[in-house]
Amino acid sequence: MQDREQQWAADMRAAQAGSGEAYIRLLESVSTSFRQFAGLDLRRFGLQPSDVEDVLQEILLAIHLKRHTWRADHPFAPWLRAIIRHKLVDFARRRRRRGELPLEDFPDIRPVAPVEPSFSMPLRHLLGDLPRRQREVVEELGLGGASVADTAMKLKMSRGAVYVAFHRGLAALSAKFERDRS
Amino acid sequence: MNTQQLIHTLASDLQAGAGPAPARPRWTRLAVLTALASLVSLAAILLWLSPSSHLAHGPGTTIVFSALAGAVLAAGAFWATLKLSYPEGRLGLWWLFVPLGILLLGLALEMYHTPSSSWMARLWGNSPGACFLCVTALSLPILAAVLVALRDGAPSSPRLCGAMAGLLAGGIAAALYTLHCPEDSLLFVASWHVPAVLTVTFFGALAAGRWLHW
Repeated sequence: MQDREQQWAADMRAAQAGSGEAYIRLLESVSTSFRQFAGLDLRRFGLQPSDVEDVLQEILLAIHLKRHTWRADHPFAPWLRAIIRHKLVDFARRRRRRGELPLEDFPDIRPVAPVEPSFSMPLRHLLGDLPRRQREVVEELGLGGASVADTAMKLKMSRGAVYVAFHRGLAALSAKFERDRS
Repeated sequence: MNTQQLIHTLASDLQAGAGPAPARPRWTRLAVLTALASLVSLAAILLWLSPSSHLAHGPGTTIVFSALAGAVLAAGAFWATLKLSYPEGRLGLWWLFVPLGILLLGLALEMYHTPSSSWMARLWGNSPGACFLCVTALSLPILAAVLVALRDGAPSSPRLCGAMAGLLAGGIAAALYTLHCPEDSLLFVASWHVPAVLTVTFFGALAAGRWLHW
């Protein structure tokens, strides 16, 4: 526990100084820990096993976008826990608002493994239902192959907002694709 | 996008980005924006509102106690806002008793020295509505600046953080407003300025719920 805290803090310090290698190591280690924790605890938040990767990606995004709020002279784990908790609650709230019931409520239906969306899917006809921002970002980034920086400039959004819109857009498309298929 | 791809995208964004994290500590940004907006409110008082006639005789009990309570409230709220702008920030509210205590002490002094028959007249003063509106209006530019500074924070409870931002703005505005307030009574201040500060606190919580979401 103590070792992990020190490793995380050291990697985050290196990342804040610009080391991509340390950053990847940190995010991978956080992902591993989260998957272990989530396996035990996710149901408490009303989430399904198939949500784990979605929530994890939102958490990684939040870590990235808010990485400047970690102070190098403070412990890393409490900061990380606060972000994870915030994003879990946020995800669960959005899930409830959409009125989706957890699959576990229906005993003879089992959750399916999540499908990775790829750009070779017939995306365009699905795009129409997305909110405008998400649609534009997915078109630019995903279909047009533009870079995040260019997309941000073209759509006059911050880079963070582009990431968030892209991620939400893909998640919505993925869910829609699943529904259409079944 | 799978998680592994995402991690690599984020890492390349880190390296393409601004490089090292901002060296300036975040409290300076909050302090500078708060101070600039306070100057705007101060300028509004000096330009459009006449100086308090009571100032001519030197600062009296009302001005001293209400300015002090406002300043202490603002200082505590500044600290609370800053603390809550970090994801792991937790907060005690015990410090709120300090400005409250100052105000109550001043009230007790005033009520001790004035006949009880004058209390109602003091409480209502001549311009209760105008003072309530002035303090509220003077707070708003400060509240806006604080919320702008908080945009790059990451509060786990945006509403509570916004409420503290409202107390910060209200405290400063109430302290500055003593330069103008034509009423010389803490009964008046407690009945009209305090509700104005609470209104701004409510606005802060409301606005933060919308804008500080992350």
